[in-house]
Amino acid sequence: MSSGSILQVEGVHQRFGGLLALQDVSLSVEEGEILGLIGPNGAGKTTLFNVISGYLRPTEGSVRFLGKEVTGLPPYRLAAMGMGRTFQIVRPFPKLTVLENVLIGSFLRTSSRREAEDRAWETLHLTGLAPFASRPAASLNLAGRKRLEIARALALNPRLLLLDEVVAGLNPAETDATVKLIRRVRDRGITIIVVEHVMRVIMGLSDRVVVLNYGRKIAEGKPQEVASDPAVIAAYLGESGGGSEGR
Amino acid sequence: MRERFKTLAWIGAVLVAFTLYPWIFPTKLNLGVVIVLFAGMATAWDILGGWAGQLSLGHAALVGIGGYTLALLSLRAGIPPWWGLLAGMALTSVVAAMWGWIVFRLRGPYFVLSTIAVAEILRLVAINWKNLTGGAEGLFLRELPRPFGLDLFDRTVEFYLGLAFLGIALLVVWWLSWSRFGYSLQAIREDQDSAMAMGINPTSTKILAFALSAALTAAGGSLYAIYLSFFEPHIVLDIGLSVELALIAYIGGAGTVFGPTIGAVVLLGAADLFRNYFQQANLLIYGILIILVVRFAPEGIVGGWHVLLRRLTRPAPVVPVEVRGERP
Amino acid sequence: MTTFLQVFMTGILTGGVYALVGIGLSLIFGVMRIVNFAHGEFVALGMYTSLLLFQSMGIDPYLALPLIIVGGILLGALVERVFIAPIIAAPEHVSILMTVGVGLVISNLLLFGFGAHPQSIFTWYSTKTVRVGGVTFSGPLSVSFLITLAVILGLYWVLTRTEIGRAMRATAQNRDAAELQGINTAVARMLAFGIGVALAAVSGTLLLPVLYVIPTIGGVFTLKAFVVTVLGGMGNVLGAIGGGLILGVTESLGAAYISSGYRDAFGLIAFLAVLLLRPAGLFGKSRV
Repeated sequence: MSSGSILQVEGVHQRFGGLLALQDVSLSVEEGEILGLIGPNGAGKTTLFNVISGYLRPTEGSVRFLGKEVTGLPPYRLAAMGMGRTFQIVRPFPKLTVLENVLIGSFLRTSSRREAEDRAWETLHLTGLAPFASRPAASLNLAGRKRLEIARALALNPRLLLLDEVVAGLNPAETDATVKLIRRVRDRGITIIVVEHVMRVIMGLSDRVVVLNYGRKIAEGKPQEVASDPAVIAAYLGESGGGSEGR
Repeated sequence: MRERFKTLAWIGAVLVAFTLYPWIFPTKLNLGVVIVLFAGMATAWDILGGWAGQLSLGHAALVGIGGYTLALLSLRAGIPPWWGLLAGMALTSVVAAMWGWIVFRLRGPYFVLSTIAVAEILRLVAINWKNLTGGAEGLFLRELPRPFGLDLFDRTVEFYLGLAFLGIALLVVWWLSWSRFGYSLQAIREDQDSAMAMGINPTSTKILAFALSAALTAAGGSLYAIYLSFFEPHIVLDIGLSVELALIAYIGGAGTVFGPTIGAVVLLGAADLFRNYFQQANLLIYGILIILVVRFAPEGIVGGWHVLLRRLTRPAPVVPVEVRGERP
Repeated sequence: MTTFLQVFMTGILTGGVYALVGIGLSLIFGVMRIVNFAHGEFVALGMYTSLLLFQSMGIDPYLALPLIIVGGILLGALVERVFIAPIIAAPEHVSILMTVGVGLVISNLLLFGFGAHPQSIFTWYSTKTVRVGGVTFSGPLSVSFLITLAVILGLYWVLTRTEIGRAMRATAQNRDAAELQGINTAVARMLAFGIGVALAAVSGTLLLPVLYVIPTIGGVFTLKAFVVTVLGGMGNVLGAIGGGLILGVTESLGAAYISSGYRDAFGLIAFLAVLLLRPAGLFGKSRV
């Protein structure tokens, strides 16, 4: 428990009926870092995000955010405290325009329409969405919608940002642009946790990486260390790395 | 920003146009009163049903509580109708807040069914609690005080009171169209989970929307009671009335500023035109139109109009975004 | 004690008809995931069709049943094809509004065709009763209870023993998986709606000898069907039978021992309580 820690997850278990989706997961995120969260499909990454952001109450264990116990707090309370997140399956408000989508985020910090709109524009410029401000969100392509997810979360003026597969499905040029954006967001002092499938991206972007497999943390460390960890390699080669039955 | 004041100007224009109604249709004043009252009540319904996306088929309960509060206070205690109207608004917003607190944990069809059940129970109470409500025989508002010498049973007076009510309802949804609260409602309608990630508390926001919708509906219900002067549970508490308000808003365009007003003009106007052909079967038009709207113009008349305009003025707007991530 | 038994058995008999109305709604919800707000109007349609057959051709309602069943299935399938199928993937409020619209069209066409005045038929058995012990059973209601049982058994047979029944159950459980197995889910949905409508129409026919009908009577049955299905669990066809019987008995006992004016309220209160406390219904989760 270092003093610069913004988020601590301790001993989290998550059970769905008979299925144990998370087993005794602990991790700590330092202020200002980019933490990569990786693992094969079904490893429990999104479940962990849902626990951290208040969409799931963990069966066991605790989450502390900004030094406060937040286990079981609803998502909107966490958002107000400064936690922003995106969804793996992008879900912008389809009928609203791009600007309005972001506006809803910036309304969290002010009830003045003028102020909220100024902040929204600022975020749109930062994320490169300004030219599409008056388009309905549903008209954006996947890259645009993923970008909009980030923009909405940024508009909340968060201290911590959880990004769930924001480059999956994008072409290399779009991916590079998003990676650049994530770096720029971090440079503004926002701590970031990234869940990602694209190994090249996560290894290049993260200061530190946590690997999940079958709901357990199997490795943690600098990207290079983790990449050469035999347990991680085994997990990614599809062997039963976490000690559970292989599929 | 400019869009916002353009809408406000349109509201002014619509209200001014309505003020001419008694001169243009002096023989159709009854219809006029019903149109402005139902336009206002459908607009109030739309706060919850259209803007927040919580389809209620129980709003007749709120119309009824508004009407009964005004009438009972007047008949039993001699309290003037303007206080009765305010009391009705206060009472319904409390009732709605409690009602919402109970049923908003339900989503989708379960929520809709629960609104029907609550409203039906209330109707049965009104029928059976004869000492209070006069039961199925109903209530008769024989006389009311005359504020500033105005006869509240005069159709012209009722029309302008109704128009003032519609004006207030339109101003409220105009406020929704640009304010934080309005956007919170739309966010919940579009995607409740996503809204929570944006810091919006869905339950408390929906309860507030319900209370606001209820208070306005009750105001309309109070005026409707004066217009009817004789009413009973089958008129003001019936599920048919709930359905009518919902369909007016939907056919006109749910979640838009002018949709419910347009719906009221079109539907009540058409029902009046065809009354001689269909007699009691005038709700047939509602049925046919809602089927057509659901099938071919899910955004209602207003939405259909916008789509038409867009098709005429420029090509379809589905252009993929090419994101570069650089500041332009 | 005899009075209690009398009240209780009357509730059971009425409950049988409620169950029949509710099973149709539950089947439709189970297979299609839509709540049919026009359900009661199909009950009314069954009543008026039987009324017309009786008045113009002297066909006894019970003899008209095969015709009502076949006609109901065809009409239901047609309504599904034309009105529901195009919006099946839309958000749920869309199908609610669509079925509300269909219901309004039906009830207003009935109003147009038959007028608003209450009508009834009088058969030789309308007022016949059966006495068992100290308890009197209404003849027509007893017959309708037996027919209800037969219809339920028939439905059970169709659902479990026939190809199309299996298709409907597969669609109810998982539409995508059913399609992968080569099941034509569009046909399954049409048939589910058709059978649901037929069941509603049959209950209308069965009630005709004991009720006055008005074109707007459908709304009452839509509400009853909602209560029955929620008590039994939405989409739980067997649960709907229990739901129907519970509703019938609750109403009957409540009306006799608490207040007859609140007869319709008891079911609604039970309905709200179950919605809020046990949303899966009184009998757990199984579907269809």
